[in-house]
Amino acid sequence: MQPTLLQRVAAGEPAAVGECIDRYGGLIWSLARKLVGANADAEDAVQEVFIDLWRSADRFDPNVASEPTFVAMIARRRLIDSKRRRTRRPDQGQSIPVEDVDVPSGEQESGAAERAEEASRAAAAIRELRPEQQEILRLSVYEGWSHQRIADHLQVPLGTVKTHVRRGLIRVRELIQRGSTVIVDPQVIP
Amino acid sequence: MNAFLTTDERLMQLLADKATEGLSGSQHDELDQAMIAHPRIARDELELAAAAVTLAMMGDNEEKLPQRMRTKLCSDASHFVAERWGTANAGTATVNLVNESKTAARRIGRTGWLAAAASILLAVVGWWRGMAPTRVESIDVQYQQFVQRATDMVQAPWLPKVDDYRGVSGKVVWSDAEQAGYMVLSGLPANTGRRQYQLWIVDPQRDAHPVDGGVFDVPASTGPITIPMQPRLRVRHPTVFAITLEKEGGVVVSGGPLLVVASIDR
Repeated sequence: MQPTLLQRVAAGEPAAVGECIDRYGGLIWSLARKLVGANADAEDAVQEVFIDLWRSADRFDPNVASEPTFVAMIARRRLIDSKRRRTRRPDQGQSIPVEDVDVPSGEQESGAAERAEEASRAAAAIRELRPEQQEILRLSVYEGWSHQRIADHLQVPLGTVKTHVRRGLIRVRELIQRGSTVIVDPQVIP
Repeated sequence: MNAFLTTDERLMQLLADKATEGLSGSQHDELDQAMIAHPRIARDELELAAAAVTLAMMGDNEEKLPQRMRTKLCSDASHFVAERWGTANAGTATVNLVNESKTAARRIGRTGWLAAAASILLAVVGWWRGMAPTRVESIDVQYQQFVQRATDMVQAPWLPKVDDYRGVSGKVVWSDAEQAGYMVLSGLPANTGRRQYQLWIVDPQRDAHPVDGGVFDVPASTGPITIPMQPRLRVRHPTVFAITLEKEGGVVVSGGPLLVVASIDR
């Protein structure tokens, strides 16, 4: 089996470090814009994510998750930390210039198939959730809303939001990794 | 709501919170304790689930990485490679990016591409070789232009912090608006062996940790030197500039000591 990009980074192949930018740049940039916002902080955060990703390459295990999922996890973790850190201090923010030009690349396309497969499995798992769980997961995970904001928006107790997020994520993980170790939340068992 | 959750549920709630909102310091401590009792549960179980959900919901709505951002990352890649595997490999990280971007050249036009390529090349050279100091007379024009142009310029004198550097003098000038500045240094001993000087920029409004300002060499028997500063990460209102002597290529976290420091009174 061919080594994945992160495995090549972990193995000490310098060229693989740069290739990560074109394969995962769009994904990480999109996540940063969602979770951190359209300001200069997003740029700093993306740089931090990539450095973290390169350093964490040796922790990627293809038996546990696909490489795009691992990358998204590292990115989300760093972006959430970044968002928490930055919301603790006042910040006027600064707009990102819009003159930048997109740069398509073959690397981005070559990672698309693997990402699509993982996304397809996750999407199937999400469809098995109840509609209210799907909505809360979307707001929390994808839109990056705080639990409190979701509770206020949907006019439900904060505890209800937290429970839906917890059970929803556990269920998705179970459905994706059916056949491997399953996390059991007692409240999910009928 | 903790009082209404079982121990297992509380652990999973902490993992779910970690995956979606992040945890406070005390919650991290609580999670550490809870994980001890559940060695079979991976700490990143629900973070991976959240990542998969993200990929599913993002679908084809992925934005393209802006060219300017990509150039910055290329510079970071070179720096990372130099630090991890030595400076001789630093150029390799971005060579492939330059070669494979023929499509980009067609899209943004010859002038734009040349500018982009030049930026990448400068970035690679900048981090591969370190910031090359230039004698005052050769960079004087650019420096003077900066001083005249930067209406928000702040400055501070370099102050030695260790005995061996008592002879160092000069100043640092900086513009928040330009995100750039210059170090003017006299009496800084030449770096020898596989060691390089490294600049650190402290911006309390940005982060508790100093920003890496890059590495540079000081040749032997040189007069005053002027070194341009353009940190890779954005800094807002830096208050302290400091120089350490590190291994070639620089380090991510310095063990010090601080050799000379310039503090800006804001």
